[in-house]
Amino acid sequence: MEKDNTAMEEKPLTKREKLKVSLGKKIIDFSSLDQAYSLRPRKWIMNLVWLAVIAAVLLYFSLDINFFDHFRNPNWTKFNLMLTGFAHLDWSYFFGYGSFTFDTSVIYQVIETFAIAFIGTTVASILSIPFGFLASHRLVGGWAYISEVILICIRTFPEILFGFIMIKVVGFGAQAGVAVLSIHSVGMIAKMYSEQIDMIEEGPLEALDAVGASFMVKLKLGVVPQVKPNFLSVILYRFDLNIRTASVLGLVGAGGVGYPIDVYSTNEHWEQLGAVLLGILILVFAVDALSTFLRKKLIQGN
Amino acid sequence: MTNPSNGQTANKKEKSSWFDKHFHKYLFKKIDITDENGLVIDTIEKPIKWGWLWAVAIIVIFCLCLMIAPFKAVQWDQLGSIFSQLFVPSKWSLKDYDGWWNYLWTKACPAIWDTVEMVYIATFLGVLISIPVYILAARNIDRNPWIRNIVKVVLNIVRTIPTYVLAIIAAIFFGYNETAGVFAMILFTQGVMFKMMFEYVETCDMNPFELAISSGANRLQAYSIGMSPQVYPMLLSNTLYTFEINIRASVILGFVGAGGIGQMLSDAIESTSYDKVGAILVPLFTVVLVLQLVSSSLRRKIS
Repeated sequence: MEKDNTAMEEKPLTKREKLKVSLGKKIIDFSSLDQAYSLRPRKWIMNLVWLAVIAAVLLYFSLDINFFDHFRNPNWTKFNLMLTGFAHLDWSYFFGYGSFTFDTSVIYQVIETFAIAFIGTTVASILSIPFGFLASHRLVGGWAYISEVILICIRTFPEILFGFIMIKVVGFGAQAGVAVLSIHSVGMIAKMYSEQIDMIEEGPLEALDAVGASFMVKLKLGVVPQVKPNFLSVILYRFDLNIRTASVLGLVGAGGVGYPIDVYSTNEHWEQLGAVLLGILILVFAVDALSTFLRKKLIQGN
Repeated sequence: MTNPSNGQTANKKEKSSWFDKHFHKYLFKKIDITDENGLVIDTIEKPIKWGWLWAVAIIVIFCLCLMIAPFKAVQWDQLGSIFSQLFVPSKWSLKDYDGWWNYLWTKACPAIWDTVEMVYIATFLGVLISIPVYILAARNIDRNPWIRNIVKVVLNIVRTIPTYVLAIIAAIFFGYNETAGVFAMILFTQGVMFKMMFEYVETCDMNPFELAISSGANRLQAYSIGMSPQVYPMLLSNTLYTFEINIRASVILGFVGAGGIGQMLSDAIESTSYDKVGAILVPLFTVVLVLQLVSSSLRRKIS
């Protein structure tokens, strides 16, 4: 060891090596503290280079899509019209009195969106249990890749296009939204299920083996208590996302609150558009808060 | 130097929440433990099992929802016929496979490149904006409760607005073009980044930060030297993640007229030319899949 140290002192670093060290090459043995300080990693050089590259690409891309041209000429008159429209919300449309019936009101459509998301999430969470078990590497080994590829394909398919196809298959309205969500959510829920199954602790299972428990008892006492809170929190998270997806699906006519948004924004009926947006915001905010609260409780174990 | 921030968190945790104060009695039953003489030795709290009630409530809500949104069985043969039409050029729109490939290369691919450009701009600008915001919202960095809570409330409201609603409002402001989509995605990205990052910053190791402060740095310098090396990998991995989400969200943005591949897709759908939809879908699927694989492998490397 001592010989090595003397060798280091006799042979100082060349300029090239110094540059390498300052660009992030790690050296553990230093001959002295002063040398260690002088060779401290200068990460800011590489950071600056990366930042410059990112900024240059950013500039090129923003010129390519005429970002600044559009950015400089906002349509203030239309925007002001919209804001005044939002200030005078159409409450008769919101609650469904006057010239609007309850079937066409915002409240009914919000409830419909909720129903679509609820049924879609419930059905998907049951459908994805077998997929989740089949995609777990610990249970089925290499065969899990088949299930994983299927799940990735489901996840990658744009849900809005899927909604459009489902309209042709099951007809306009809420049933199309339900069909889309209950198939599309499987992609994410089953993947997260399989991750949870892969993380199961062996201890309880070995203990149950030792007392001679059957397969079903092992499932009931060894697996379910471990995965239940995590599964529930995954479902709640997906429900939160599905509320948004369900409202998007309305854009192509698969039920829910998206369709009136499309109609009123293209026809520039700002009072009605404001009412619909308010309805969506209330729904999303309420479900978001509820899901976050329940997930926190689940993780704490209450 | 004392550690006021840790002291504050400890106090906060001991305080019972509003929920515990009012609903604790419904969740736990008090049981007296007595000895042989009937004297109370100890009282324990046993959790009441409400699991069956949850199950009943979910079934009731499910049935109520079924009245509004009926569940219909999918006719698989019809679904199959639509999927087969995606990759067979019809004589009404693209005529033959030459036209199909031509459409794919000269129309669909440039549109997807536009989308990638939009997502790139939006992701990096959104992340750039989110950095000061999550520093201001983290409890252990920013000790002013007013600033912290105002930032949190505003950002939580922004975060709950769905992306396409932001896109509609932006499209009214900037016109129906890519800038509206970029603007919507910037707001969306920074909401997501804010949520993920400030929770991470609050769980970081505070020792380097306090060391820097005790040697005379101000809070910003202390953050940059003691905290940002811890936060940096997480920032990168979350940036990649939001990039991935944004690519998928950009399809929806096109449907409300905010540019990109979604606009072409919605035009093709409205004219019911499935072969065009298929020609758009192939490169879109490839890009999303490749980006997903790249970002997940990079994220695994970082963490």
